[in-house]
Amino acid sequence: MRDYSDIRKRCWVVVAITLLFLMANPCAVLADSPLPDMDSFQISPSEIQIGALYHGEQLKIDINSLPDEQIALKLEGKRESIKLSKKGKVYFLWMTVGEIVFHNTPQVYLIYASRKLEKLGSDSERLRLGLGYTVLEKQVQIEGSSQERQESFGEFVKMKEHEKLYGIHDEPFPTGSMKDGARHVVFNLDIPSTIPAGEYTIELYRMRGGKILAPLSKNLTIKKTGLVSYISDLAYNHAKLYGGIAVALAVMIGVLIGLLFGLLRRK
Amino acid sequence: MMNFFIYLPIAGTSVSIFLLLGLGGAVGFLSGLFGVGGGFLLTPLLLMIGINPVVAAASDSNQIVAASSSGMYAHWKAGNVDFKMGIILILGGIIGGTMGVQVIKILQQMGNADFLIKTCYVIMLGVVGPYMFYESYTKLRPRKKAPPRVQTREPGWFSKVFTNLPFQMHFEKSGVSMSVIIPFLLGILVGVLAAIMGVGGGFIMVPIMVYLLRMPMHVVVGTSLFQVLFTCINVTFMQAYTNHSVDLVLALLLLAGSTLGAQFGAQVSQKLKADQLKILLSIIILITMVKMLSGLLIAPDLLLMLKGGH
Repeated sequence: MRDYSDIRKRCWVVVAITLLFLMANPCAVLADSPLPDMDSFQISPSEIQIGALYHGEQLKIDINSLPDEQIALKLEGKRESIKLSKKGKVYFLWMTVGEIVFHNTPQVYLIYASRKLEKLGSDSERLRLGLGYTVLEKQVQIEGSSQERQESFGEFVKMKEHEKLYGIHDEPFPTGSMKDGARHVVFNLDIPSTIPAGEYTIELYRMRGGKILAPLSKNLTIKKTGLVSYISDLAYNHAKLYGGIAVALAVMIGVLIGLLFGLLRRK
Repeated sequence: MMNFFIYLPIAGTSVSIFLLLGLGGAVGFLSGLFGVGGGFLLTPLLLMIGINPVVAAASDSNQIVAASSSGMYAHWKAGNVDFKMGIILILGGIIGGTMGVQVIKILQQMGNADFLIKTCYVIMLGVVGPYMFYESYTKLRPRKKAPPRVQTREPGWFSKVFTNLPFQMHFEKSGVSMSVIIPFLLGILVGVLAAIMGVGGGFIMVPIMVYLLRMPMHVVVGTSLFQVLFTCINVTFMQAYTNHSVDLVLALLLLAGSTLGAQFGAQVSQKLKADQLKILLSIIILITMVKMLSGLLIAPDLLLMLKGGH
């Protein structure tokens, strides 16, 4: 039989020596502590509620990175097919010249990069990771000829940027603060008021030594609440009732105000 | 700082409350003043502030229901609504509207409905606007020192052509006699155009009542609002039911402004002379026409847009 009491004694001695060492030299703990968590980032809030007074929101993103690292963030929505009217010039008049269908387009595509996207890793890396409009163009399927494709994709991006749902912003990130050899940055990402409710992913890309590291990802939920949710549900799921309410309310308010003004005029 | 923005659940964006109240108020004022629904003015304004075209057109119809109810109530109280004429026009309008929906379907299949709608607007407004302006201007000038104006109740050339048509009827409120067929056919015409253009049709109906039916201007305004009200009730319900495109919050804010504006408009309308009203309306018609025409001639900022709207 093994003598467990001897082993237990040895363990206690090791623990005691370690504790004594740490009490005598607390700096050693800090000096040898690992870098802050570099394998994740935090978003706050992780759920955005669209209520009656919603007018966009700032998403706070906490990132730890090495001082020499470049950072990019991508907010992307679900992919969908979209049918659009296309305008063109016939003789001297601008008119709708047909419709065009885009498949596999993200609802939202916002990129914030700490330097120009073209300088963030190689072309092949950005292609692999799906970063940038050039990459997106390859992923989106457009019905039409190749020249029409190229022109139409540019116009599509222009339309989406106008809606504030697409954008590539390459401005320096906040300097942040240095702690334990790592840079702690808090980035405020503006969520536009036009963003549709749904599930989104936020990906963090870090470029170290000319290479983009595997992206880190977080989910973001945007959902309608309260009156907004109630009205949307009524409009889409009880359309007849909704139409009736819309008409009845309008007539009632109109007549009521007419009546009120009639009384005021008489006075 | 207080948040003055409100989220529009169907349009899917947030807009300043005061901006919507102001737009509604301005258009409502014109509605009460001239007896037009204001759809031809408000929808382009809503597009300019970033509202989806389909939602803008549908919600606009909803707010016109309130504005025309309010305006019509004021005109009815003042005895300015010819219900007999209005009902005939509405019946024609319903048939014309149904025909117009079919016409628009065919135009969409041909692929150029949008262009034809705009061209239709430009031609119609381009003819009506200058004619109305010229006629009112020439009438206003010599009347500066003339005795008080007397409304002409004589039927015009259009009515005279149809004097032999059956179903003759006297419209007491308007002081005109004609065959029922005439306003019924005109109602169909307006219904077709209103469905194609996606508006209540007040701005088409007003000149028709004035120049073709020879109705007095103040009765025209009230009767037109009566017709616009029913056209827009139909459009609002159909848009909500088939396209889910009526934004109740947007419509309520617009109508809060427009109903108030319509009351002030109706009051001012009582104080202005018929020709002064016509000259103001003709200027607005001309401005809208120029805007539409520039949309056809100048390259748009965006060459792609969501399907729908007008």
